[in-house]
Amino acid sequence: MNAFRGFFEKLYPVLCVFTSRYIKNREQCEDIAQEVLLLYWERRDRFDHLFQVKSFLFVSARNRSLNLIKREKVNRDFLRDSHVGSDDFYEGNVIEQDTYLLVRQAIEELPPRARTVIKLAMDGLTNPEIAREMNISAETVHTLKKTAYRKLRERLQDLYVIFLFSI
Amino acid sequence: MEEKLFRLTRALAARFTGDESPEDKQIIEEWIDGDEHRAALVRGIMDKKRFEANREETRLYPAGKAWKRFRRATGRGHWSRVLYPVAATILLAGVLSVFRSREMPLPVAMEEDEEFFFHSGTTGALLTLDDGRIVNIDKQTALLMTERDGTTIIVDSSGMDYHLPVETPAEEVYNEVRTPTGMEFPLTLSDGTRVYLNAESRLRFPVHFPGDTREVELEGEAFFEVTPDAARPFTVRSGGIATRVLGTSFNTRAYGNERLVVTTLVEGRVELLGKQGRWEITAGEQGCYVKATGACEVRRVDADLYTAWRSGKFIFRNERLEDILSYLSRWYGFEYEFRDEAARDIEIGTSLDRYRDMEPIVRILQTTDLAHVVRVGNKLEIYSK
Repeated sequence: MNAFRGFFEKLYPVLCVFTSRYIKNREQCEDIAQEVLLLYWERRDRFDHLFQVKSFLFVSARNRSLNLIKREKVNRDFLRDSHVGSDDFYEGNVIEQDTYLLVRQAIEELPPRARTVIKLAMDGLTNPEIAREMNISAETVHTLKKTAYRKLRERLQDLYVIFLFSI
Repeated sequence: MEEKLFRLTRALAARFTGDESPEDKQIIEEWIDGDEHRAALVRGIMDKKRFEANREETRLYPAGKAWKRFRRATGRGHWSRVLYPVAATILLAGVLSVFRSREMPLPVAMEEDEEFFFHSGTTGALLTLDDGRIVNIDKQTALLMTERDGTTIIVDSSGMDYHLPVETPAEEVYNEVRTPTGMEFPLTLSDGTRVYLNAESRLRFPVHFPGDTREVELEGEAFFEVTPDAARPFTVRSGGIATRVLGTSFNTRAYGNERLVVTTLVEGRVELLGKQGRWEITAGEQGCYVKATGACEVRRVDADLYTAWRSGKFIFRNERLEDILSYLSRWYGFEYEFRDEAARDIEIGTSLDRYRDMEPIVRILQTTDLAHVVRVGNKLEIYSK
């Protein structure tokens, strides 16, 4: 159960934000995120890969959101006229939430100095600029960057392939 | 199809961090497949501002409470479900004392020990830079940033420090530091003034104080140690009044949902400027400004009581239970509900260690003869006895 906690704490906010693209009410978003995580928990032995789990969570959250909108009379026309029900909208939403989740996870796990280098690099700074900013040599920036990228790469691979909880 | 989608997000994450392999590039190109809409979506995802905005959004949904709710739904013994009808029946009967009898143990006792604690807050804040970028700062963060005007911002475990650029900048650049529930944050402004920001507070300030003024905006609570500078008074604007000082230590409490703005002076002298007048307070005095009327009462107090949070304690003396819980909930992140009106006005005195979990106060409340507390999930329900 405690192994699952880390997963829950990462996915819960992401699912809330995902759902908020459909539903404006924050409490309803939280309810849906909670429900789909429970749903997953009850059938957790049926999944082998993380992408299957994520897919299950996102699709379930989307279906629940659309059902909720349908139940509210005032919103029926909105649903018909907007594209929120479309596959494109779903895909765009998953891409935003999951890409950013992966980036956050990967960066958070870097050691502090490597993290600073990557953050500055993401802000568009060149190696010499980063070196000046951090008051270290360009050589060190280069080394830190190299290790950071290797770790990011490993981490991104892990995030995708492996899915093991000791429950 | 779904697998492809998650291969894509991984490739996008690699591109975002600047670590794109030829394979990633190919995955992205294949997905776009000349579609202008998809190409635009990928460009949008690469926008750092959007990433920060998304991060900020996820912070609206802290997982802590949700996890407890999840545990209750999956765990054994759904005692909260059982408790509600029981509590209701007892309330109707008006026999609250039944809870105390041996035959019926307190529902709280059924909970596991770890669930009994409210964890104490910690160091952390959200920093909004002048260009709208938001940086999350926690205990582990070590950062060096440069603002638009050249001011260097150093972040480490001891807080945040603003250092002036060599040349004095012409434009005004503002930063904002915000602490969520259960977080506090220390910072040093460009003039050397130390500010300790309590939970659920917001401080807006110029990265570099222009000309002969030093002015900041506060919502919530903060303790200030102002660097003396007779030529440049330091002003804190909060809840409709301005606190003007030359160089002293004081605490301002100005939460949006509270009736008063309370300024407590540790040393020196400050001036309160409101719409209805001007008040002077000296060391050991406290100004209670009533937001609704614009009136202000100055009284002598034990300043330690009101600044204790700064030195790691919470000290309350004959304070209303409602005020105490309102205050503590910002730090420990719990909810509370008074099940009868009389309980709000119960006065108690206690001293707590700010960095310890909150279990002791639940105990105190339960063992005093004054109030009865039942915990339901993240919520304390309080009954008078």
